Amino acid sequence: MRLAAAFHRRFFAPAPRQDLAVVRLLVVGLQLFVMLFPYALFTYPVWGRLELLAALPDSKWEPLPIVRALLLPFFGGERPPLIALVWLQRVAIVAGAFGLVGLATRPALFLFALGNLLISGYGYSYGEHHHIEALTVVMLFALAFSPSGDALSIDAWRSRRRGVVVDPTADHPLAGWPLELLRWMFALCYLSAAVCKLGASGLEWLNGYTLQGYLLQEGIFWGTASSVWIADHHRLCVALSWLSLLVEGLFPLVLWRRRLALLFVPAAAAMHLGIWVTMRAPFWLYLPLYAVFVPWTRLLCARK
Amino acid sequence: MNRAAPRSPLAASAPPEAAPRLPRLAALFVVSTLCLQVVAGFKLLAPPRRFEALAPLRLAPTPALWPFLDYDMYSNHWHEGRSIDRPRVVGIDAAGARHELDAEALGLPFRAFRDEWMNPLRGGDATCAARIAARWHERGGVSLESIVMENEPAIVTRDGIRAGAILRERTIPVAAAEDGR
Repeated sequence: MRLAAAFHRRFFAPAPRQDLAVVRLLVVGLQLFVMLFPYALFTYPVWGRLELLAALPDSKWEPLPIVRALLLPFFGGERPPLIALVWLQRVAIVAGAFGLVGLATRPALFLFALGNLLISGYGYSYGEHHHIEALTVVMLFALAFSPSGDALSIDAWRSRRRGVVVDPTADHPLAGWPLELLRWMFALCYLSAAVCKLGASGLEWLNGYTLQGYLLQEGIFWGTASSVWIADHHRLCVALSWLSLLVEGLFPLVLWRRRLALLFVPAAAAMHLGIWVTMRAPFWLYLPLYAVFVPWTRLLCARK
Repeated sequence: MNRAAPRSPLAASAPPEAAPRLPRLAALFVVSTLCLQVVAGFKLLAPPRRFEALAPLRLAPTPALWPFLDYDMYSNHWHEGRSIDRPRVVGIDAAGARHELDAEALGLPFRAFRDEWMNPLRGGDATCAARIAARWHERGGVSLESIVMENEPAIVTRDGIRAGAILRERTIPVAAAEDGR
């Protein structure tokens, strides 16, 4: 019972609707941009190569379990035709636009989340898989199941016109859990990344040669001079190794000491931007998700 | 940190809202999402193969739990002295002079050069040698007699990246490559 009460206090503490709405705008806005202009920011975006994937032989089709399960009612779990995927993508984009402006927000965001899950999963059902969309997809579902359209949305405007006045800065008991969930997801992901490194290599991972090697490998593969330059400096690589592991391993502290987010969130963001520049792994998709660590309403009220 | 958010005067005057339904579905979503992330991230159902005793627990190896993040790339350590291939393409002209033919020299985007020109050449596709020679010539370079595929390994050391001994992997006479085209 005490655990249940602690869980309830942590995840269902009232939070301002506006905080959730700002996160909705940022997360849905960037995801929509990525779907509409896939090659603007990505090297091999799944949203821009459905035709290439569909042209692959059936022998390459290795559906992820979640994709197989979701396709079961429609295609018996078999490989869907290209036309179905193209339409799914179109529907997802329209739903995303509705979710962004906050019109029929919940069903729109649910469709957008489902479309993203299916299209990303389809792209990773040919043997190669990545996780850059993982946290975004989870957050889209969380936004769909929460009152994220109660503020900064057409739904809220229509409610006002009907005479239902809801202050966007007022707390709502269900406005905080998606934000808290994502903070926990970030903490778990970073902690598990640190544990995997220490589990596989122990403190040897921090020897500097490891980071030199990976930077060199990716630098040669992608032709990035910056990563080869860093790899050429052993002591810098030792320092960056320690920094990376400390950020990942200690990130969960932000769950208990929220002010530490001022330290860890910029550090993690810098780490992802650095990885993108040197190793071309586009984890900068996480940047809008860091908005869950920002007390938007408090900041905006403090400025007034 | 949101709990301390200041309330606006409007909030105080707003009509009391209906008490929200018990957030059971939301709680279920939160608990199941966190549990799946713990299982995926800490590989509870995909222990490393080196732990043979835990083999029966390998019920959900990567990517069974996608989209939950089980990212363990780059977790193995390197040691000093380890090397990595650094392939390069060199053209030899009639006078025996060497010309390094990289993406910039050929006026190609790096990835196009790597995927469509250098890697096929490395794999033994001689027609690429003719294409490279022709492109170099078009761009004002001298005529080439042969195309050489070299590998100059890069070695990780305390003093930075050091070049290893150059290995000549393949030499393709341009004339023969053109004939085979």
